[in-house]
Parts: sequence; C-alpha cells; structure tokens
Amino acid sequence: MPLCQSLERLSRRALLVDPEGPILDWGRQNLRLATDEAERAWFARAWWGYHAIRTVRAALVEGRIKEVMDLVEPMDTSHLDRALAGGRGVVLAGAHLGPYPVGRQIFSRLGCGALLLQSHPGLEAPGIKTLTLSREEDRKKSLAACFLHLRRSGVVMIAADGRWGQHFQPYPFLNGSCEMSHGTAQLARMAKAPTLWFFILWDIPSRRIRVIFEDSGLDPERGAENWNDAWIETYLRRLEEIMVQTPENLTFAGGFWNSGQNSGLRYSDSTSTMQGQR
Amino acid sequence: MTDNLNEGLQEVLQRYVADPADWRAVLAGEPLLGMAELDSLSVVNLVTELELIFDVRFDDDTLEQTLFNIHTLAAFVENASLGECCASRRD
Repeated sequence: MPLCQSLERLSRRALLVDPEGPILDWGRQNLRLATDEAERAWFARAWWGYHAIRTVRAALVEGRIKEVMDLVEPMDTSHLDRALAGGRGVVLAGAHLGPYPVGRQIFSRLGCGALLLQSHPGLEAPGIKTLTLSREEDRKKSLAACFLHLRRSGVVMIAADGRWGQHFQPYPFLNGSCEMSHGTAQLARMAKAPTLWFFILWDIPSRRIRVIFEDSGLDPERGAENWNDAWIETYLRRLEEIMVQTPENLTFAGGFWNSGQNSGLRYSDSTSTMQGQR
Repeated sequence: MTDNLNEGLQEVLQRYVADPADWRAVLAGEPLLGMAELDSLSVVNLVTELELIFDVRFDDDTLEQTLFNIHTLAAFVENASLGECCASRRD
C-alpha cells in the first residue's frame, strides 16, 4: 500500500480507538488533559503519531525513500544559509520528535556536508558524515570531532534530548523535571557557533512533513556565565511548546518522555509492545 | 622525534592524565581515549592546547587515528611541524 494511503488509513483508525493505555496515562500525568473530549482528541493525534513514525521508518528500511521524501514540504533554509554565512559553522539542535528518522535523507538532499551524532548506526544516506556514540571512545572524541567540524564551517546535527552525555543535571520540564547533559550547549559556546533549532514535524491534517530551521536567539559571543543553563532552558521551552501543541509529534519512538535518570529526555524502555501496531 | 618535541608533548599530556598508573599506561602506548581522566570536554581542551603549542591543526576525519596513543599523536605533531617548517622555508 502506498505510504500516503497507509498514513491516511491510520488517521481514520485513530478516530475510532478508545483512549487507554500508557500513552493516555502519560498525557494525563504530564499534560493534565482537562476533559474527556480533550483527552479523546489528544489521544487520537498521539496515537496516530505513534504509529505514523513506525510506518515511515518501515518504509525507509524497505528503501522506499522517494515515497517518504515526497511527503516532505519544500524547505525554507534561509536561517541555515544565513547562519552558515557567518563562517563559524552551525549547531543544529534537534529532538526525537515527529518523523525524525527522515533527517539523514534531508541532510543528504541538502548537501551541506553535515555531521550527525547518532546513538546507533542508522540507514545509509549519501553525503553525510555520522558519528556513532555507542562506544566510550566515540563519546570521548565526539565533542572534539564536532568542534573541529564546526571550525571548518560545517553543520553539526545533534538530537540534544538524547541519552548520551556527561554531567547530567535536572531541569524543569512539563509537570516535572528531566535530566539534560551540557554537551551540545558547551559545544556551541566553545566553537562560538550559532545554534538553530532543527525539527522534522508532522503537519496535521495534511499528513505531510515540515522541516524547520529556527533561529534560537542564543548568541554564543554574548552568552552570560550561565550559558549552559540558558541554552538548555530555551531548548526545553521550545520542545514543550511542540509537545503540548502537536501530540502527533510526540511519537514515543525511544520510549516515554521525561523519565529515568541520566537518560536525557527519553527513557530507554521501548513502548513498542504497549500500544500494539494495528 | 626530537627530544624537545617529545618532552613538550609529554608535558601537555601529563596535565590531562595525572594518575601515575594511567600515565605509565600512556607511555607504554595504551589508547589515550581509554584513560578515565580524559572525558569529552578535556579531549577538546587537549586538542586546542596542542594546536596552540605545536602550531598544528587537527582534523575531525582523522581524530581517532591521531589520538590513538602517544606514538600516533607524536608522529602527527612531528609530521605536521615538519610540514610547517618546510612550507616556511619554501616561503
């Protein structure tokens, strides 16, 4: 079945599924959904996003790259172009939101020679460099490798909500707190490179994919002494906005958000058996 | 490698690997990134300090090979310094 039809079918199904299970529990606990009606609407979108990312990921694994990329709306790269023109490279701080596995194909298409940090080896995409963080040695050299890449005016993409990092600290997040590493913030400061928020998000109701490059407003040249905290808090506020306003982008692809210690935002337990692919 | 270069490199490295047992392991050619004291931030500081002192430029594509152990690092610094020296003479 064509990908766009699968996603459309999921939309119809989402309206019929009764709200229940761990995703609903998460929404109740973290977003304090007010009424049954609000819960039902929220759950339908979150349920769709949960299954949509798995559908897209399956299509990528099957090599249906064109079908997936046909879902991507035209990209506005003006923020990226302007930031690159500064000559200090660019830190793209992303997150495990929306159909994020499409990222490598997007960078491959952009042809900007991006360096992507990843927790595990992913699908091949021509024209991008990756640094896998599963080995201790790789984690130790990762910051230096990114620093050197930025110095060559390169683009470094890091999902800053990931669970790899050092020196985790708690920060307020949604109705509780989460633990975040300072690595990405430190990198931007050391390289004096601008930070752009980089998100790959679902657009509802079109079920198309929006690629967003946003100015973070953070200036590494004029950063205060509490740069790391300011960077992380600004990043988390933006993530909260997306998570509250667009439940389809929660995806829960790496587990539940905002749980576990030293895990970044994402808990490592899989939710794949909890909501059952239908 | 010249004695001066070798001593200078060891002096810098020892600031990052102060533990005596680890330092002996470094001198014996054990992997640098296996040393507990070297975390991701100190690797950045080590690289930038070496660049400043020895007037060399590290490359992210070859970082792991260059930083493999003290011998690969010394060879890199020596070759890069020699290259710089020859370039200066040509100028």
